[in-house]
Amino acid sequence: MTEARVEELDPKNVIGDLVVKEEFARPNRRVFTIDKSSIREAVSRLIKAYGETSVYVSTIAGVDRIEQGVMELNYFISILPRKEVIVLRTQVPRTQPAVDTLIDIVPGAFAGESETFDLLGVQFNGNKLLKRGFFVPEDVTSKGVYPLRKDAKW
Amino acid sequence: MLKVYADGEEVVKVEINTGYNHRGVEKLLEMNSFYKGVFISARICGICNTVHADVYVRGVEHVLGIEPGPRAKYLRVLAMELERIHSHMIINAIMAEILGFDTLFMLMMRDREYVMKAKEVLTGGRVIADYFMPGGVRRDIDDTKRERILDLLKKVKPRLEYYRKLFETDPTITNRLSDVGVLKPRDITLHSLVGPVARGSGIKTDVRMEDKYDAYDEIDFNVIVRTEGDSLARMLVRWDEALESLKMCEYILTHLPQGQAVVDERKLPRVLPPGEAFTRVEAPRGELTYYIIGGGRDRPYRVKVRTPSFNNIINSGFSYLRYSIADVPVILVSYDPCISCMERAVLIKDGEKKYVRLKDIVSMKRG
Repeated sequence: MTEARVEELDPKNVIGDLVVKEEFARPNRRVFTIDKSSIREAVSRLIKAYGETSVYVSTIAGVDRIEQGVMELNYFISILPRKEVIVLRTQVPRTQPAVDTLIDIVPGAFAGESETFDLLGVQFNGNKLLKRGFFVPEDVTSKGVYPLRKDAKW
Repeated sequence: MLKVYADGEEVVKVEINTGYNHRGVEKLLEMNSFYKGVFISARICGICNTVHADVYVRGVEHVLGIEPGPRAKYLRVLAMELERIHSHMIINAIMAEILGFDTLFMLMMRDREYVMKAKEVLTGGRVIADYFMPGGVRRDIDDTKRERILDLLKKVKPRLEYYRKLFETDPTITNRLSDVGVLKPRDITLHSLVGPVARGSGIKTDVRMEDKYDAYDEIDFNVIVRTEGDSLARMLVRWDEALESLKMCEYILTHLPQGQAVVDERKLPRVLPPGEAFTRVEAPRGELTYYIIGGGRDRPYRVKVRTPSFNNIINSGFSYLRYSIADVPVILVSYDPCISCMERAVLIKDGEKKYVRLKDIVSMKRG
């Protein structure tokens, strides 16, 4: 695919059938809510469509939505030829937060997954490198506390 | 902490532990009013404090729905570009020290003081600026200060050009840095590496160009890209960027728009309404991102910070493999790590642990 055509390719055309809801986050990021089972599919399709050297996972932002009883995961994905960052949003139940790992598709997800596991307790199925105490000091991990959860006791 | 396993001199495995640098800043930001957050975020990093404050402030502005005036936008860019110059100078100085070139380190640190002084004239602080506020900046400059900064920048320019030439031509430096820590473009994107590390490997990514935040849509600059992908390319990208930043600073000081830059802090809203913003900034080390969620209270519901070194150091373990032990400090420094994240290296010989400092590895090579 030539570069000009990649630029014109809308990410919605690539992952459109997986999208449950489309929102907008300021300043100009499109947020695509998808089911947690399709996160691997969505990222693989984006990499395939735009090319390996044009897409990277910028960060994974986990949010504890305690009132709704869910953990929200926001995958911020940068698409370089379009100069655009899109958000893939998915929700996992708070009682047993788990989602499939991306680490075998994009190794760059390692930093984000490690952090989300250590601070919010979201399990990434298939990631064997996760460990407690990667960021959080031992006196906190030994009590089994995930510090960024809204009900964490200090 | 970088745990390096070696077979003889050859690196076979690298484990990265971030050590005890988790300071609970995100929690702290959630527990304090969003005004205090401006100052908390600036204290995440000393060297690049203005970019942290800028990206946080812009996130808050997006949630509040306010926009700063053109003069404030220009002054923000000026503060951030001065910071980029001195940050790139310090990492190149550290690289000189790692190479055993202590005199060069001292000279660069001396010349860096011009930029620190310029930053002090502009913001009031030579390191921590505390210059940013939702809706504008906290100090304006007059003609005297403007002339003073321009004067200082004039002194810096020939020095930057000289150091750049030195890094490109001096055989002691080039022999040590070229073909060490080579990263292919594919490695960069798959491992989410950002900033000068990505640009040194031919990936054209720069948030200033992609997002055009603050006044970057009006100020002309070149995105420096090199294709070699080795440690030398990364250092040269930084020198060229410092020279670009210098040009931008001069442009800003001679084309500063008129108008109100300082915001009346007493008139700012006290509640962060529901809403979310994902802001990015090109910090000296690469893309820095903040994700801010407002919840209708005076404090944000969630603030997520992702610093560039977080990606560049944690994800780069693969890049040390097959190089020799003596190359490890060079490769690491070429990623421009915030050294406080590093602590020290652990040397395990026949199952016995021994802690060594980065400097000791360098002298091991010389001995």
